[in-house]
Amino acid sequence: MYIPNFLFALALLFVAHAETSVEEENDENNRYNIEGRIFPLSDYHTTQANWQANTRVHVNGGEYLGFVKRDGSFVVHNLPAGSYVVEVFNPEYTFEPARVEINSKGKFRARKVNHIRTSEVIVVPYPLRMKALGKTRYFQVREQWRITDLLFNPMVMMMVLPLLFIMVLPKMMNDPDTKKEIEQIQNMAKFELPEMSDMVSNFLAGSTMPSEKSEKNQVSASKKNAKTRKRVDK
Amino acid sequence: MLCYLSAFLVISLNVQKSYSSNIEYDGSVTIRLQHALVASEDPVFTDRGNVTVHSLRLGQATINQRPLSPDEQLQLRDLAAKNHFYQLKSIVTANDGSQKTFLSTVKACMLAESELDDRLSVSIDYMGRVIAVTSIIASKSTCEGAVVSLEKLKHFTTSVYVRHTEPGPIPDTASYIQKLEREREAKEKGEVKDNRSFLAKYWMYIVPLVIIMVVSSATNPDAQQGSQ
Amino acid sequence: MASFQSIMKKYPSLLVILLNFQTLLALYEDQVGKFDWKRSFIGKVKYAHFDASRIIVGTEENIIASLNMKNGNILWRQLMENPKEQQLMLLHSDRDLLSVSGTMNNWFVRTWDHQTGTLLSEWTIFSDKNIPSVFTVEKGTLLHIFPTQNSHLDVVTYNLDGNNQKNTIKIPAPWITDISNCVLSKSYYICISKNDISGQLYYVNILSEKPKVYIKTLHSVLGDTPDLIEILPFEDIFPAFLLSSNGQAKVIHVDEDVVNTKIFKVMPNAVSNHNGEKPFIYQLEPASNPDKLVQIRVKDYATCQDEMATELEYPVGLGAPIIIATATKNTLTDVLLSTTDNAFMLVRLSDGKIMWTREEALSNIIAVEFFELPVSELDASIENEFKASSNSILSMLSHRLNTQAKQLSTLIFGEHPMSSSGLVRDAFGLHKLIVVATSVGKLFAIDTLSGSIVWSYRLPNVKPFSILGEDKILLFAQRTARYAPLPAQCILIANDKYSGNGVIFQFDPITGYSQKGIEKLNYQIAQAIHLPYEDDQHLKPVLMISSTNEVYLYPSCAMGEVYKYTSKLYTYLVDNTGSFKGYSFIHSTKDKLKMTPSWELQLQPAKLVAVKTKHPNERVHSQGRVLPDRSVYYKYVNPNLIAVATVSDDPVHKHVLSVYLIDGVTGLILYATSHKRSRGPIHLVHSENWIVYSYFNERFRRTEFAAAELYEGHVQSNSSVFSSFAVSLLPHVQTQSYILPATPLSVTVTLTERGITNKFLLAGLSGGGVIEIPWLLLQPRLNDIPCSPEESCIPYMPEIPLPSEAVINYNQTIGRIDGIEVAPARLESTSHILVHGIDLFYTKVAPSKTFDMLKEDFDHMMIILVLTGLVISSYLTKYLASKKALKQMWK
Repeated sequence: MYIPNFLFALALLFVAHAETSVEEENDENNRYNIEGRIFPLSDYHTTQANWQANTRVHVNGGEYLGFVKRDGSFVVHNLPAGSYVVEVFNPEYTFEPARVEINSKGKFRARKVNHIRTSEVIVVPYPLRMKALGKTRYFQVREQWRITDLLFNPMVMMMVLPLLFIMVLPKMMNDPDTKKEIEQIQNMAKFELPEMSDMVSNFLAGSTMPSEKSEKNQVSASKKNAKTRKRVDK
Repeated sequence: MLCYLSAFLVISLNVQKSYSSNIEYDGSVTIRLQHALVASEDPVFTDRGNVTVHSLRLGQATINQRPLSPDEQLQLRDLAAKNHFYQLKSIVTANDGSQKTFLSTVKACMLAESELDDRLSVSIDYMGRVIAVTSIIASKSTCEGAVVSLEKLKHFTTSVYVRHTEPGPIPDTASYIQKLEREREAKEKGEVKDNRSFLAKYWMYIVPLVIIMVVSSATNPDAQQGSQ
Repeated sequence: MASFQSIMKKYPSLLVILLNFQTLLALYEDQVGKFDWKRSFIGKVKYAHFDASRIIVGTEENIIASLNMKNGNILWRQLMENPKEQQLMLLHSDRDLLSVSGTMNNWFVRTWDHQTGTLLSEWTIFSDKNIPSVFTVEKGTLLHIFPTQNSHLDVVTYNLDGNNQKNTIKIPAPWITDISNCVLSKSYYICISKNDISGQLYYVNILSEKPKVYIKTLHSVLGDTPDLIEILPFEDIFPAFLLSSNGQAKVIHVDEDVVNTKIFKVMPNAVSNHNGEKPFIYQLEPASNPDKLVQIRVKDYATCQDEMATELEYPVGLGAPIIIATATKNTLTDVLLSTTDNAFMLVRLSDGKIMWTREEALSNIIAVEFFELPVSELDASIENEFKASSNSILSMLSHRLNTQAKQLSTLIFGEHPMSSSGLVRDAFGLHKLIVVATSVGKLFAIDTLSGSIVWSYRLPNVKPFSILGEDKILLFAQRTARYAPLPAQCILIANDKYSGNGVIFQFDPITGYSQKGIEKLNYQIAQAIHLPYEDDQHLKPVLMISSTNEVYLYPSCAMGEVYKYTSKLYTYLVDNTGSFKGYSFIHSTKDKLKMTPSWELQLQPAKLVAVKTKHPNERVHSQGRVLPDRSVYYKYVNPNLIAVATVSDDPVHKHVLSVYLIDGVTGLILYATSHKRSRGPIHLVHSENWIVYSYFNERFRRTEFAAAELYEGHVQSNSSVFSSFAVSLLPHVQTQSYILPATPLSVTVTLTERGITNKFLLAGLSGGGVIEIPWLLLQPRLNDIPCSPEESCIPYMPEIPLPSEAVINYNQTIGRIDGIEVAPARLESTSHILVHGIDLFYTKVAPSKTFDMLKEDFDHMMIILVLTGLVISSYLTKYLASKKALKQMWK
């Protein structure tokens, strides 16, 4: 299905091309004007007091020029029939260019510029209405150094956490109260241990994200325990 | 109908790409070769032979060169010994009778060492007009100082290469559009499958999690007690 | 998460690669202006008007601008059409600013807002007459006058109040013999029929109901004068003009039938000023005081008395001035001067102080050379120590002690005042001096750090060469500042304005001092070659070839040195007919270099549009390219390669662009390609083993870039020596082409000291931005080798992405980019970039980021704190550990 489409696109291209070549051979005496309007940059909270004077309209890479009036309108004079790319330049804002085709009868058609699919026609309104795509980003944002970046770096986490164990756990062992508690835990762990490894294997087997919190897991531990036992029975 | 036409065009484009020597105008040229065997500021050129290229498109040529006389052989050896240049003048007569003269220079010692085996590069432009005739000698280095006997400096064994102007590259938009289409289709079908293993993808989440789990299970016995 | 990013980098998709390039390229906002600067210009001033605290100017670059009266800075500027085709014809300042600019038969009439430079209205005028015409504004109408010689005047009047109504009248005027003998003053068109006293004066008031031609004899106006008479325009509130003879002129007023000749004589450059209390006439004269150059003489218009003469503090080195405009406010009079070397200045009377000067010559730079600065005196003295000059041990010891004492003092007290000029080499070669030559023949040296002019030198009567339609002056750095006691030396080669013969100007690029001044040659220069060999004075000689194929050497004493290399020396000459010839120097003798033709190419009827060789200082670091399959593809690096582009008109394909790669020694065409239906402008870049060229594809109506890369193959034929004569294999050529969604005006490639750093193309676009394009994006892909994602090769994209972050001049738009010059810094990562056009922009780029330098946001405090913290804590823990051990022992 796809290939015929593609061929058709090419066919269009050649046809379109044939048309324009005929146009270009027509007499050069008829001159046309390209008209358009630029959406006011003051809507974009620009700091440029007179953005009109800083905005330039280039046709075919500066071959013909247009200047922007106070109300944002512009006219590019003296163009023979042909195909033109209209670009708008402002130091702060980026505009999308448009292609304007003027045939020998003085009919205008404006479309989006597409250099890759030159035959593709997405018509835009004529007289042109040029709207800023947004403020041009010339600069990279400097990465700010944050303590969280460092802490959440897995390498650091891998280093810090074991360190914590080494430093904190022995201290806790020394405490007589915790010693008892730990003994309790160890007793309990006799039951818990297989459950722990099971949980991990569950995680790895399934493709779900480990979104559940560990506490929750522990809360539902007994249920899972029961399940695993069942499985073992089977 | 349109589709057929364009299909044909596509094919012809492809052909052009693969067969680069596809020039629009075929023609034949005759090249009269003259050479200078005495190094001088105003060299005197003597006839060496004729080359007729029957078809520029195919590059077929007949070469007709006379052998060097003993005097000329000595001159050439002398030229080589002094590390001078051997100059070749080619007078090219095209189909339409227009004449162009070209000059080319090689090191005489290289010519001698190759035992008069030279190559003639005839470059033509996109229209099939000759723009340069250059004599070259196939060798990996310049003169090695080998002694060549005089007998071997008698017959030129020339090969003629007609070198075409290649059609320039065209931005390959078609395959790019296809690629984009494919990607779009793939997106519609669903996310692109990541074929890496689970561990490789999410290890940086898993490692801290495991650690946290170990820590919390070690330090928070109350919760576990509660769950029991 | 940094590690996450690094993983993403290993598995590139299109998007990720793009992102990476963006982060590679972009500038941080706080770096703005740290190492870049921009200077804006307007071109040679043609018209000027005072307007409140502003000056409105119109220039020969077809630019109108408003300048701040206080400092000469540009308030606003509007670039109109290309000045090569269209010229500013009229600039009238009234309620609004009116400009008329255009060609011979088609003009734009535009009105502008004084305050902001915003366009108010615009309309066009057409004419089918292809004769020079003049415009003027009088009484709210625009007059457009076509004088037809010996026949009539066509006058078209346009009503300027809104409806632009048109009215055409024809005035018979068989008395117009020569347009240069006619002036337009107010609504009067005035001509003289002959340039001597026997001539007649004709004038006509165009605006009157029935234009009547008045005729007077010049004798009745001027009295007896034996000399030639010239008619010159004179700005006044009445219709007036000057009749000049023998260097002196008379002001003549006309009003209908009355011709009023002022009794005083003025200089032909006189102007009138009517906005003070009394009308005055100002004129420039050579100063009577020998210390000063120029004085302004003020004359009372009414009484014709000399009022005063003010000597100006006119700087030495500026060209001859003319008065462009004057204005009086209160008691102060401002005079605007424009000079022959395109400078523009404001002089305030009555003390004659120059308030500011604009060097407008810099708006038209045609040659650029970067120079390293000399080492500081201290470093120089250290270097001298190792020279053989001092031979006794004692003197060496004292020298050593002396320099070390100095070093110590600099270390303690800072920079020594002796080397206070500031032009001292830094460790990384980031501080350089840019020497530029301008089209008027003025040289400037510009400091890269500040952008200030270090020195300037005006070369009178110098004209640039015209090479492939471009104006060029040649600058060659014969000796850099590296050879300490010997000064750096540079030579400039240009044409003499009158004879067309060559001129040579040799100078020290650091100080601007010239030992010999301008040396005139008695031959025309066809080609000049900077030889890579140094003579005993460390000078690299320049070889010049005259139009008659004679060879000259500069300096001529280097002959002995050059003769040694004549067997290795080749050159080529290109002429306008399209013949391309190579020459050898094998028949040179010890006293005379001689050129012998060695090869010839005939590219006719194609027109040569570009010839490019590699940059002589370029180094190729890597011999090959590592392919995705881990094999090496060896580059074909031929130092003698010439890239040539031609465009030919074709009946079928309209225009055909052909590009050839030619070996400069043998003339062998290594690669030839043609693009049908493609036309200029062609921008050709040639570097290492590749070329890139841009052209306009007429078929798809887009600009394309094509890249061609030459390879020897998987085996290197001869890794040690390269000889153009030894052709064992023709290079493999890889090509690919791309779409550039913009219009390039100039394209070049970065250059670094050792060629390790990645190459970037720099393209100056019509929008005024200079964009960096990594060569890796353009490098032809090898499609037959599969590239797994791990190899991080960039997939082919037909359209070159132009992210705004890659614009190296961010929002500093550069008007009409003309050229981009590149020079390496001593730091491998960095290149100096100078972009010139109407504006001048300098910056440094680091294509592979500054890998050899600490980042400027590197936190020295942090690292010191961390290190000291670590040291202290290690000692602390050592102490604590030993204490604990002791305690445990006691347990």
